[in-house]
Amino acid sequence: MKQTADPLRTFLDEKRGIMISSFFSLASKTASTESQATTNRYVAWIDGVGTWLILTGSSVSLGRVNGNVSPLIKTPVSEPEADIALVANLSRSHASIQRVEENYVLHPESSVRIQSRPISYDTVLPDSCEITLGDSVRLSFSIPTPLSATAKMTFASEHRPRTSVDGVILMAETCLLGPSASDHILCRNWSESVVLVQTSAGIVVKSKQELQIGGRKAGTSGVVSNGQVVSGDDFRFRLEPLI
Amino acid sequence: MNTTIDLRQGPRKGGGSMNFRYEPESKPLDGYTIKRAIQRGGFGEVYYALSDGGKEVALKLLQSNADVELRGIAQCLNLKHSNLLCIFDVKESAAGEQFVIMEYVAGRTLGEVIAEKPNGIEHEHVEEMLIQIAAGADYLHERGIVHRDLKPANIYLENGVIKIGDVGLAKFISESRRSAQTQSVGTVYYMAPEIAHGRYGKEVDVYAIGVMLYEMLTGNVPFDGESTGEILMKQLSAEPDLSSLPTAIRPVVARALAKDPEKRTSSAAQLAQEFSAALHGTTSPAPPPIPVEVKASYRDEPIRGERLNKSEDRQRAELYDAKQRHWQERAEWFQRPGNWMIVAGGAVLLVILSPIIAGVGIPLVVLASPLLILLAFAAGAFGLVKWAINVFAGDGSNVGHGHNRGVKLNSGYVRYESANSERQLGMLDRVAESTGSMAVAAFCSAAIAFALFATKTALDTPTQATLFGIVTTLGAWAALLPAKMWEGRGGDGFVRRMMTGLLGAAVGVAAFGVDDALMVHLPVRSIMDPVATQLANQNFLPVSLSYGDASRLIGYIVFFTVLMMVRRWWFHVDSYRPHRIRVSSVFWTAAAAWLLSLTTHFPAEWAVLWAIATSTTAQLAAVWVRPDQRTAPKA
Repeated sequence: MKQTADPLRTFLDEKRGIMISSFFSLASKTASTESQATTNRYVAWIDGVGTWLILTGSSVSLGRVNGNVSPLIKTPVSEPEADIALVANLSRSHASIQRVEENYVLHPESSVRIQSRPISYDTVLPDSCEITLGDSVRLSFSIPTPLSATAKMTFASEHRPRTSVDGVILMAETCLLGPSASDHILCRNWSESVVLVQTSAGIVVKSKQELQIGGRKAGTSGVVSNGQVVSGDDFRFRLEPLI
Repeated sequence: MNTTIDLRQGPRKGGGSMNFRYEPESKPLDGYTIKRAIQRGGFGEVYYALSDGGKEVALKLLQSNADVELRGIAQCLNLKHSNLLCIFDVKESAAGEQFVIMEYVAGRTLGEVIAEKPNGIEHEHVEEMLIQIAAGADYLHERGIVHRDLKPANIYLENGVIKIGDVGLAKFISESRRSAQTQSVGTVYYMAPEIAHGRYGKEVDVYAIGVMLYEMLTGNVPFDGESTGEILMKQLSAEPDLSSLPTAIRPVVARALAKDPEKRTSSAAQLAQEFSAALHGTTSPAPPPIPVEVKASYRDEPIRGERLNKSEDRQRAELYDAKQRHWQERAEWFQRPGNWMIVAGGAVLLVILSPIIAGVGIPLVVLASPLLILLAFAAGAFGLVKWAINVFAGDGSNVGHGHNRGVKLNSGYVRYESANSERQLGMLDRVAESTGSMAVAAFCSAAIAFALFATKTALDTPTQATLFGIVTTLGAWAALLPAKMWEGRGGDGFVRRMMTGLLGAAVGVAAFGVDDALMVHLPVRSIMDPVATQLANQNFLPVSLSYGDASRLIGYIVFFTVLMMVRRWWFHVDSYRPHRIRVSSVFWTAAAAWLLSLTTHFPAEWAVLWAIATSTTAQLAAVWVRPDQRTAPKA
């Protein structure tokens, strides 16, 4: 194979091109962004793999679930709830994590420990660490590949949102789904990785296989919107936007 | 596309094509929204769904012979146990499909937990899980239900709580599966041997838990193979290798994996209890004695049944058991008709040969006695020199223990100079085994000689064959007799070599006698002409020898003395040798004989043939205890 096998690299190469062209079309792009982007929270329902919460914002809040509102069930939001709302003994707004370029900065608002060390001010998270919120909520934080700033968090203490979620992706520009350990979402039985890319048009799915998005043939990449089902030869998932 | 299926995991993950019938957001059952597919199991597709009220459930869509499966589920629908996956209901969709609505478990399967720890899980964690698995299985067994498909892919772990899944489903499936050979291939790892005979008692579940226990402890299943058939064969006949388990746990696992369901651990709860007891060092509640497999001093064999933490009483009791078994084996040996034939054949041969032995042997012993005395002196002198060297080298402490050692060579292979097989033998044992072996040796030698003569490969005349047979017998006896006396005792390798050498000299004298009596006159000559001349001119022996005879006598003596001395014969014929017959031993003996024939005036063909025949005969005739029947060494 002449071409590089890593879809992320391919993407990064393409991105360089986009950056140059976007310089010239900045004005028109800003207009389209406002009409398209309605949410920065998605649930990926992946057949045979699991359920992942994908947060595309640069800042995410962590806290306790709020009243009877579920982050996964589409009921009207009465009060603002943390992006990662857990059924746990936490403050409603317990901490927040901000992505600053390649780094993640944790801002504690209540009792927080990193690697069992108490934190009282903004702290840069190591590439792989355990965050303890309150007395017993433990989250494993990691950046699976240095090629992407995207981070993932899993629930080490099995405290979860109202319904089962395997983990949370703090998505920078890309999110890799695939069989290798450096993929953000490990999909053991997939033959190759699929990339989700944040663009101004929404989330774009890229794959080497022919994709079907929302039941229609979409070639090897396409925009996913309105909770469409994406499927290839050996995978299928649905990206459900949370409002 | 990736279509290979990991045998261990089975098609659990639903890899390959994701052709699940229902897409996310479909609602085949009123009140439930399918969010995603979880897996495709042996029983159909499983989906994660949310009820309208927000309850998460697993929906199992039964595919084939749904009505048969439903019968099994109906029986288990209202069972309640914290370690069993809860079945909420069974419902028919508008399209007429049967769905089982079950508790959704977010945790991992035991299979995934095991896969994360390829070298085994911490014992305390294993104990926690085992107790829960056993509790769930016991709850079923007490209600007359056998799970039949217990395996790591069916057992979930959530918040430290074990949940056994697929209860009530496996029962009917496993029968149809055997014919179809499709579906969960992963199951064969956990399939008890009696399933081959269509027997499905609760012992089947105990066996499966035993396999999982082994897998949790070591990271591997006890019986693995390339194909389903190979694994099944091993389940039926192979013994599990327990060497990687801690000593105290071995008998617990061994009993759970017993091939005979009658001898297996009686219940799942009993297994968990025994494991806990073994883990915490308390004596388990009355485990019946099982044969303790013990490694001899041979490094070739896997180490089994090493005992470290047992009380002395227990050890003594086991030693007693071992002795009892030993006598029993002996009695059984004589009860087998084939063995009687061997003894009888040997006796007949002895009777036939007795005139020759008496006619030739007795004068020879008389004739050879001064020579033997001479050799004994030489041996003594050699020993003295060696002792002196040890003393003056400041290594006096070792005197008397000598070469009883395991010398570690560069390769890390431990070679035991004096095969201290640690077998417990009484004097009566030694005599009994010796006589048996001697008879067999006589029979074997005769057979080899006859074969060599009949096929005209080497021996041309009947007299040559007789000479060959008799001397081979004597050579084998010279190897067997002292080895049997030394067996199970420590001893100096050097002294042993000297003694077998001495016996070799006697064999040489006897060989000369037989050669002379039968008038074969092999072209054997002495390498020590002055000695032969001296011997021919002697006047201290009752018989006078011509120069040629004397030369031949010395040639025979030298050859057999050295042949018996250069090899560790007692090692080759030890009851606990790795293999009944080792070709390499025969080969090296032959090689030594060939080299010897080059340096002495001994016909090479005869030298090599004698060496081969003697080594083969000695190994065949020597008692050999199968590795799995070997008994404990002295504590």
